[in-house]
Amino acid sequence: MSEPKHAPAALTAKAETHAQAHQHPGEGTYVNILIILAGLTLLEVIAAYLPVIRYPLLIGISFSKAWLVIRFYMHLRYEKPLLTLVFLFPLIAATIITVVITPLVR
Amino acid sequence: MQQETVLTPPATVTDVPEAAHHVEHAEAAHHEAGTHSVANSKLAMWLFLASEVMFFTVLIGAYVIARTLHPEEHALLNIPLTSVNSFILLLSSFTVVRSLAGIQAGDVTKLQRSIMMTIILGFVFFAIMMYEYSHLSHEGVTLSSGPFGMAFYTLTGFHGAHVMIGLIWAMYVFWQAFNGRYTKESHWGVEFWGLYWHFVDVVWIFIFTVVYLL
Repeated sequence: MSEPKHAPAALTAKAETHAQAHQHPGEGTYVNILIILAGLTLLEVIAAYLPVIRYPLLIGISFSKAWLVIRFYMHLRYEKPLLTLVFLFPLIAATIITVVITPLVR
Repeated sequence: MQQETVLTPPATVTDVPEAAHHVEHAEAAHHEAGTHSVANSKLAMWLFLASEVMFFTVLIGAYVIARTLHPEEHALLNIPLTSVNSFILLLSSFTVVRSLAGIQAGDVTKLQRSIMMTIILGFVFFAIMMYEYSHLSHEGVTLSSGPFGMAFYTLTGFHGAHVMIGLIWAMYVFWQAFNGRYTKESHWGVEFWGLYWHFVDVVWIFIFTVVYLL
């Protein structure tokens, strides 16, 4: 009889943990992210007209923008680490492929 | 028979805690099964998005090769107009996340308005893309004009097709929201559509940099 009494309590605790794990930020954070994304896009357009430094700058900015969307808008920050790994693996593989093939063409 | 009927109530009364426990247990099991089902679906959705990363990488790689071999046609691309289009797509990502925040707070009106805004922004993005295609084709850059045109239209065309799928999906989600199918507790339909839309935005972030700015 003690097990059934404990079971709902355990499940409630589990549900609370689940809810906490899925706690998303408020609208203020989403607005701030949008402002940062817009600012980065503007910076990117300016950087496109700069000499030499533009390549690392543009790649860095685009990865930062993508990471902000993935972490905050897609809520990966609040999900289990497994989902981050699932998405990061092909992203890293894709980056390596692109970096490797580019000099081969030149 | 009558005696049996009379004797039944006390027996049922003693069974109440056990019966309640069974119902509670069944509800908890059902809730847990539902949670697992959503968690599995979410994992499947992320795996699908991961496969899409590889798909677009191939197309971006093909574009990089074509661009390196034929750099002159890149000068025809309209960077200011595409920058505006990039901002429109980023703004649509915000309206998507706002729609999810709305239904998570139980605000169906906010959900509907945000989806509608996303649909409008998506169509504006698509219209600007079509305008750019029209401009480029007049300049002689077509799908069959050479490696640059082929790689450019294939990459941006597939992305545009993804935007169109996202728009059709958005209209379906809007219809479901209009019919009251989403609640504060159950709204995974909105969440999954949102994941897809944000992913399309992430792909555009890289396309904008690689195709237009680099």
